[in-house]
Amino acid sequence: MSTVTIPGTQVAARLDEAFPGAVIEATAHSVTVPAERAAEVALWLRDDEEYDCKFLNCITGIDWMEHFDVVYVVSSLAKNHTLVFEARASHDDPVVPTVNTVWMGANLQEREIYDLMGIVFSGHPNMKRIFLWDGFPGHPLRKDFLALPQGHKPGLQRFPYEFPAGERSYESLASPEGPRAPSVPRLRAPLPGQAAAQDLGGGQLGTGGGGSNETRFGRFEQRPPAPPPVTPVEGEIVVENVDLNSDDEAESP
Amino acid sequence: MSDIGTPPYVVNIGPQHPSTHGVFRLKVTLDGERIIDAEMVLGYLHRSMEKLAEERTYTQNIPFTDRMDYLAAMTGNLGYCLSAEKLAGVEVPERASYLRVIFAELQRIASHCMANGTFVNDCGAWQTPLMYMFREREKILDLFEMTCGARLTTNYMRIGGVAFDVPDEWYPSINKLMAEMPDRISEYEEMLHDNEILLARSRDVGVLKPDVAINASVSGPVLRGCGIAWDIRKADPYCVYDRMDFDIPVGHNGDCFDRFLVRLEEMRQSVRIIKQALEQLPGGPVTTPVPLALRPDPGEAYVRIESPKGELGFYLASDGGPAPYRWHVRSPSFINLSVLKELSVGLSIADAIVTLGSLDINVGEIDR
Repeated sequence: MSTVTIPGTQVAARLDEAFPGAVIEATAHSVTVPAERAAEVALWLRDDEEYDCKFLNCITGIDWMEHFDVVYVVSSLAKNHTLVFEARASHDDPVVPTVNTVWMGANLQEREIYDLMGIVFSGHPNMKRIFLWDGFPGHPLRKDFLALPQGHKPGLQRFPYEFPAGERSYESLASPEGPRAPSVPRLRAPLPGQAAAQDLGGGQLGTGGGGSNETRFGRFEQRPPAPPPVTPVEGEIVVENVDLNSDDEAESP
Repeated sequence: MSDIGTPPYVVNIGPQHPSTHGVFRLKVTLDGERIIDAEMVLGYLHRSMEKLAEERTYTQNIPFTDRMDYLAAMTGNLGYCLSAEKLAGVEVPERASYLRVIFAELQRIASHCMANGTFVNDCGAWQTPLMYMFREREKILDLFEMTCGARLTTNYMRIGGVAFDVPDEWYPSINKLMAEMPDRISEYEEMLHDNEILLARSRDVGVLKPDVAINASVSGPVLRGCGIAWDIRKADPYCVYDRMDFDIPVGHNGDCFDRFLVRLEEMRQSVRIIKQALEQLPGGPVTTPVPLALRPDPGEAYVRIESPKGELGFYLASDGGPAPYRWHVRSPSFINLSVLKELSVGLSIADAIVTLGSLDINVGEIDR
């Protein structure tokens, strides 16, 4: 009664007849084809009598560092079976033909993948960002987007006994005097006009270093001279580690 | 007169407007009173949960699922836990499976109360039907609070079971609610089924054709509203749905009114399921011990459930580490929007608002 999952190896055998040499990899989970053949394989799966994959469940992209995989989960409502096929795109120039003409439901999902993963779907009628704004620097779901120093993972340090010492990035970010609180990574995405605010306030926004309020009361003149700020360049994001325990960031008016 | 044309002009709806059901913006281009183009602008509620999840353990990610579809947190929890369990090969105790079904169905009733209430609001029957439906929804949220302490962001399911067993005072409360619920649903139906306001505004408005619906990956009550009896609880049963006896309501015309009726009938079927589950509810533990930092073997899994909005799927990829390598959410609200443009073109703005209401979107789930 439940949905039959067709293994990728079984699909690969039929796919090899229809498109000789198209199968790169076939596992029980999925079958992988080169990026440029994705659309024709999709159309074939939809119109093939045996597979009849009229329903596209979901598309997603995975960044495997060496390449991207675009994963298509498709199924047949009439025959109640499902299968997974993947299109492998290069990491440097990921372009996959759109399946928007095969399944209309791909339209928004391909835009989402483009927005967050940076994979371009050629032939898509409206290849624009969907969640983030135009001009956002980078594609956040890529593994190299904003990677924190030393592979720092904020959530994992909550389990000190589950991780061997080498895997915890706790010590490397805390102050050497003795960690009372873990340090916080600070994200600086420079905005137009921020450079002027920093010159006046002498501090960085959001870390207690003084902001526009300081300038309003004229107190910035009593502050010690600010360290030379990193010149904000639009379109570039800088990650710095701020130690909350060290004194040079502390407020001392 | 017909050859007098008006230049097309653009009207902006939202992002902050009660009829857009959250922070959702719609730019419609009008020719006279008719919509000739509709463009949605999303992302006002984007929190990048999929990225955040890559740096947290499997268990730490459960609260994110509350905050996606915040009107149906239980089903979000359930779908995610099922996918992590499939990837890690965790068995769930039987009592936990039953409790999951009960809470998921309670959540479906609560979500459909909200969907139908606000839909009738959009049609012009302002607030009164919504308040009737909120009366029952509140009782369901009380049951949630009794069990897990939270009304909306429940964080109740765990990988390997559920967080807490139900307290003793929960049983009389749910039995009382389930006894009165069929009468309440009949009350809604009497009030609304022949309601002139609702019929005039929603019948034959926003008609979705079955082949378009399948091609556009539409799921849930919107798909069933156009006559396709597709329900993952029947087609691919998870938990203990294969032991429950229930029907799949379908519509005939695929218009807004049919979607409304499908949701109304689904509430009845949910009551049926909950009653059976309460009768069959076994004793025993409600959770299996699972390591806090679960490390599934490398692999990928796609798991889908029938959430109140449609097919809620989770695509998980593991590289053997304690955090998911990739966590993708197939959100039904987002994908059901694929047909919004097709449905809206040719309608007036007022009808487009009704159509949007009948799709039952949740912006937390669209933007994630």
